Amino acid sequence: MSALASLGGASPGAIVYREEIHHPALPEPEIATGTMRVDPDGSLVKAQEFPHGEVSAIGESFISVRRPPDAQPNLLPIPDDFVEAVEALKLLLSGEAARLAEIHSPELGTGPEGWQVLIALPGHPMRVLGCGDTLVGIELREPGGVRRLYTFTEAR
Amino acid sequence: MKALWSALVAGLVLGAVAIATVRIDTDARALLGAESDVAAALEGAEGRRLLIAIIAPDPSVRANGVNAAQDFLRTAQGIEPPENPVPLLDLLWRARFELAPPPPGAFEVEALTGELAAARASLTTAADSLVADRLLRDPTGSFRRLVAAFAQSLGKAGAANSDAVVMPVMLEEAPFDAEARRSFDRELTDRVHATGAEIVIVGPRSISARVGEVMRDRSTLVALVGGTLLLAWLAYILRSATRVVGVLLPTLIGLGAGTVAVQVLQGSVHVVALGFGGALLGLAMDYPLHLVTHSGRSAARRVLLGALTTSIAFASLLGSGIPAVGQVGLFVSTGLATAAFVAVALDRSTDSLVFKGSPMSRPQIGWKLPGLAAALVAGALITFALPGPGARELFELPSDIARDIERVGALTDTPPARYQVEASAATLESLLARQRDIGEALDRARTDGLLGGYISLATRLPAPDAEPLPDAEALRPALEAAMAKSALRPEFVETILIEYRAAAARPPTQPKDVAGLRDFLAALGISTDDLGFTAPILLHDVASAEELAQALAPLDATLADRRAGLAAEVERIASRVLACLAFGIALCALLLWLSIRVVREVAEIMLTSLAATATAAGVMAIVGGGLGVFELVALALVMGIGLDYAIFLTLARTREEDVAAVRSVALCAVTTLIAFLTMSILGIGILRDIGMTVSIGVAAAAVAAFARQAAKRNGMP
Repeated sequence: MSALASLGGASPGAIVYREEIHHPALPEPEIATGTMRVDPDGSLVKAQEFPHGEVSAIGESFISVRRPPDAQPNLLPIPDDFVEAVEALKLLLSGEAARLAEIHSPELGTGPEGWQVLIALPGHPMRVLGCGDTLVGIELREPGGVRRLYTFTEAR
Repeated sequence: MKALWSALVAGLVLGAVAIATVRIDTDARALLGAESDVAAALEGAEGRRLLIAIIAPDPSVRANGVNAAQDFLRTAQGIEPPENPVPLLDLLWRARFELAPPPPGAFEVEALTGELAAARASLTTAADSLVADRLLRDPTGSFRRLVAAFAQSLGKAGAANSDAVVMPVMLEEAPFDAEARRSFDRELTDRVHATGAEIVIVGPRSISARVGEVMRDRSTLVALVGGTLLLAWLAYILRSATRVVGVLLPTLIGLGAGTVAVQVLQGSVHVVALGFGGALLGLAMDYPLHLVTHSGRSAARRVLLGALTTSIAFASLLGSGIPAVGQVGLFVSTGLATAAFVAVALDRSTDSLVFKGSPMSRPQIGWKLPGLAAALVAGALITFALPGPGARELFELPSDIARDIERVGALTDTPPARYQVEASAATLESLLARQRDIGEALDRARTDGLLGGYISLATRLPAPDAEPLPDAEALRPALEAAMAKSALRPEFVETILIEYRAAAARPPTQPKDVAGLRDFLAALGISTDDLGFTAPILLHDVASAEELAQALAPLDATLADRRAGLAAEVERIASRVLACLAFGIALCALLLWLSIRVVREVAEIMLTSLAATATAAGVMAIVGGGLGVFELVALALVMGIGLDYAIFLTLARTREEDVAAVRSVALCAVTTLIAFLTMSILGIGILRDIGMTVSIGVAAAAVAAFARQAAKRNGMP
């Protein structure tokens, strides 16, 4: 899949994201912002800054959630049907998007700003949005009609 | 001197072989046998469960401690990936009104608005993102309360105390490896301590590994201090390096022979068998001491007779069927026999010890044999009248480990519970109703001071003061108002009401509905079968089990002692060890008869030894509230020591032999007391108990053997 293969490597630092959370109960999406990066140990680290600060490190089996010092940190299991979505996110953010095309059978189409690739992950269908060799966004669909759209703007 | 050098070389070779080949086994299962329920528990799901508590009053220190632990756990080997929480969440969602019906006031606009606001915020909170959609679909709060009640089962870290975070971890399914467990716990502890936080790790495998480590450290301390004291004592009393070497060599060669024999025949040496190396020190050293204080040939024969009888008594333990106890039997019998033969072989290598001063005169007692028989009967009566052999637990946990278990119990709101009441019912709903009925009786019993409290599935759930669920249409106006106040889409009310109707109309949960959740349920102590659910109500701080059982009887609820299984197992072990010892004692008597062929002398020797053994058993039963398995094994050593002393003092044929026997027995008794008093003072748990048992037994044996039967025999000066 040349669109995925053309995506550039991981940015050296964290990339800035804006997350829109769509839910059937919400007239407008909830907004969250922060940064994402893949650590050398393979963990996907999501550092949310708005609406409240928290850092989630998604490892192989656990998600550790770290809140500011006055809040209790937490360690959570990764649900089985979320594992493939996490792996796909890690590949996309670490510049190994081409491997996604080998593992899954993506469907290429035209996106709002360039191309889009649909990946049928079980329970969490994923839409990858790109323009040329730039990753523009990722959309994840969850059970219950929840839709999370991450758009990437710049590297830090 | 040549023989001494040869023995020294042989000892060094044997020591090198023992050190090179020995594999020390600290596996607690060897104490109970691999087939026992308790040993099986270490391999089961409950045995692989760990609770890790990070404790620090300062929130930032606590957070750093948790982060360090999480960093370690994320990459550590041997951790089982956590259970997928989705099936449990699905059950909690489906059965939310059955398990946590909405409390009064939950359907008012304010309450609904509050739940919706919290649900909306959970969309941007990682820890809640998995449940956020369902929180929005259930503004009654039932699902939220259930998720909070089952946070730990869902894999979330948390604690009842704000100073701590408790993380549940499941170890991978692999055979228990004490060293691997210790290494894991040590690294995790070091990382957390580096942040300034405190850590407590509790779980069957960690505790088992920690007990083994504590016992090993204490055994080393006892061996070092006891060995140094013994060496100083021997140097003082023997006044010659050659004699000291001559006395120590048989014991050391005996230790090496015992170790190699167990290693070769059993594949490894259990730490308990090594611990009984002290038994060798206590007795094997007697043989060269007897020989060095006697000048005649008769001493060698008596040493061999004493060693043979004691070896037989210990060898009988091989039939106990308990791996570690069997190893003790093999280790001590091989070691003693070897030490005795080496001591006899080296007999002429060192010069005899000549004592200055007048010899001690022994009191003559006409009623010695009846007195010994009376002591034997009294000791036996006390031992069996008190809780009896096997009444004590196999292990008494070192106090710091017991304290850690209590701390984590307090943090997770699960204090140690010895008693439980089982509740069974066809559905989850009726199970909870049954538990609440029993709970009411328990509340009354608590008011009467019969117990401290109780924990059950029902107490984990939100309070059941629920009102009947209103009709969906009756709920609509309040819901529409709450949606408007929360600035949410009004049309989503229909979705909420559909979900509400479905949950309200759902039949109570049956076992078939939880087929995929057996592990989750097992962690909560809940089991299922075709008939329904069974779950325990755990009772803690029970003041009177009898009165509590009576209070529960009208409800047809039975109080069960959770330790009954282990207690029965320990009793089974104790009775096997007792049977083996009885067989060994009978063999000793037969051997003595074949060797001496004088009924009165055989009777005096046996009675002396048995009276000392019974006295030690009686005192330990009074002091410790019953005898444990290891005290029974230690009593075999007391039996051997008693035989040894009695053989020398009873069979002394001349005035010179009698004087030498008094001196050698006194020397031996002091030497043994140094070793075992050190063990009783510095040891903990079983080491302390063994030390006390043998010390009391040695003192009793020395006193019993010392008194002389009046008109002992013709020809005695």
